[in-house]
Amino acid sequence: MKLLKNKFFVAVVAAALILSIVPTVLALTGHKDLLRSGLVAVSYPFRAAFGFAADGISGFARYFSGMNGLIKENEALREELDSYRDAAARAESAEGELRRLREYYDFVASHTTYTMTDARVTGRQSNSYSVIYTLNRGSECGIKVNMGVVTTRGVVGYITEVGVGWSRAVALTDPTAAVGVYEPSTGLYGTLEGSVAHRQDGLCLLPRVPADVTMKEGDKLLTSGGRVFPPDIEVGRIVSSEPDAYTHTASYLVEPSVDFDGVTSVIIITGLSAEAG
Amino acid sequence: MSIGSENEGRLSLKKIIFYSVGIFLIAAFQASVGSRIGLFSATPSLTLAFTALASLFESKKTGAVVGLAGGFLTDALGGAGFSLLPLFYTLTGWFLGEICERLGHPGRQALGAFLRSLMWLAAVSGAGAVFTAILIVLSAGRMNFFSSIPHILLPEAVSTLLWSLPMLGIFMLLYRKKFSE
Repeated sequence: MKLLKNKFFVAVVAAALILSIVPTVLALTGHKDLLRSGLVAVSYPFRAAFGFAADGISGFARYFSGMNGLIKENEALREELDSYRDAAARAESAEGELRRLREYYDFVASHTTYTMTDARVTGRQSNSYSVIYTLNRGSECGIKVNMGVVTTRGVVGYITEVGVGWSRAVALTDPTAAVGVYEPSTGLYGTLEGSVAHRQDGLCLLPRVPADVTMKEGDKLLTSGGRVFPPDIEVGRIVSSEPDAYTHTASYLVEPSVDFDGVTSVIIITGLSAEAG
Repeated sequence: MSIGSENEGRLSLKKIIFYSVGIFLIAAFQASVGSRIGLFSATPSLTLAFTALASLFESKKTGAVVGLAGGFLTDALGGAGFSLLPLFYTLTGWFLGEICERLGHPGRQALGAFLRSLMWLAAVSGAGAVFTAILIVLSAGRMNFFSSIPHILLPEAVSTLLWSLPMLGIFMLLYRKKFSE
């Protein structure tokens, strides 16, 4: 009761009651509250400013949170891309292996009178004198010295050394190498030899060709066949000729069909099959 | 001696402007972005916190008048229909000042003033949350009080208390000359 004697308290509570009851009654009866409407109008710029500021702050925060999301997404995508690159590299490698095996089996299928085995090139030494390949097949696979080495593109050379689990082969350009060849259009048979003089140019020599046999640049030489190489395997193509007036013959320079620098796998001709025998 | 008890006389023009502009801006702020700054999915009652601080740092009269304006502005700018906030805020401002006068205002030491103000703000935040629950009962007709504790009362009380901390800091800064340290 003492409180009700406090004029300030009574006045302020009365004002509070009026400001509570009047807007409530006006709202319940559907009348417009002018004071309230006025306050809303007056405060509009402030509310808009606060709203704008809040939008800016939340937009700013969202930008950075979005940035973090983008960074994480970028990292995830990078990892995904790396895994796809790995998969693509593996697929490419597998595809290369599959192609090589298909070519190998095609080659084997087309030369059924010979026995052969595939081998991988595990090392290659190249000097001014010769190209020597180290292969991953050796005596355990029946590999012997002088066996022919080819690829599906043509003749590579022959085996010169054999060990357990390894063997070595020299390329056709080696001065000690020789392979029997023939030229289909002229019917010429001859022996293609490695040449010290032309080894560095990657060329072989077809010597002592009779003068009446004329071959032109680009003519193809094939293996004549025998115990070492099956017949009709491409050996090389004619590049140029050097006539010898005294012997009435000509020597032809031949470019081997095989790119000796790019050989990664080979086929070793291990002998004649029982079918041929 | 207390801060509030020294301020029973007339308010200076600077303080009148501070409280007038302050309660208006806070009401506008609460009405515009209150729902976006709410913690634990509850909108804080910033005007109630401002009313309590006015009562704590100034006097029960100032608290009552600021509460009257704060309640009315809050209802006018953000409420719809049922309006009881002016009465509740006015009574809160008055009685908080009254209790502080009897029990002692925040005090002259800064840390003590801060802690005691914090305690009163927590009490007022809780009371505000209870009042919100009462308003919901009056509007909706029914509400389970116990289920409303974790969903309405606690979130709103905590949200109000946390948002009143920056305001408490501002009041401590403005009334720093009253503190002995």
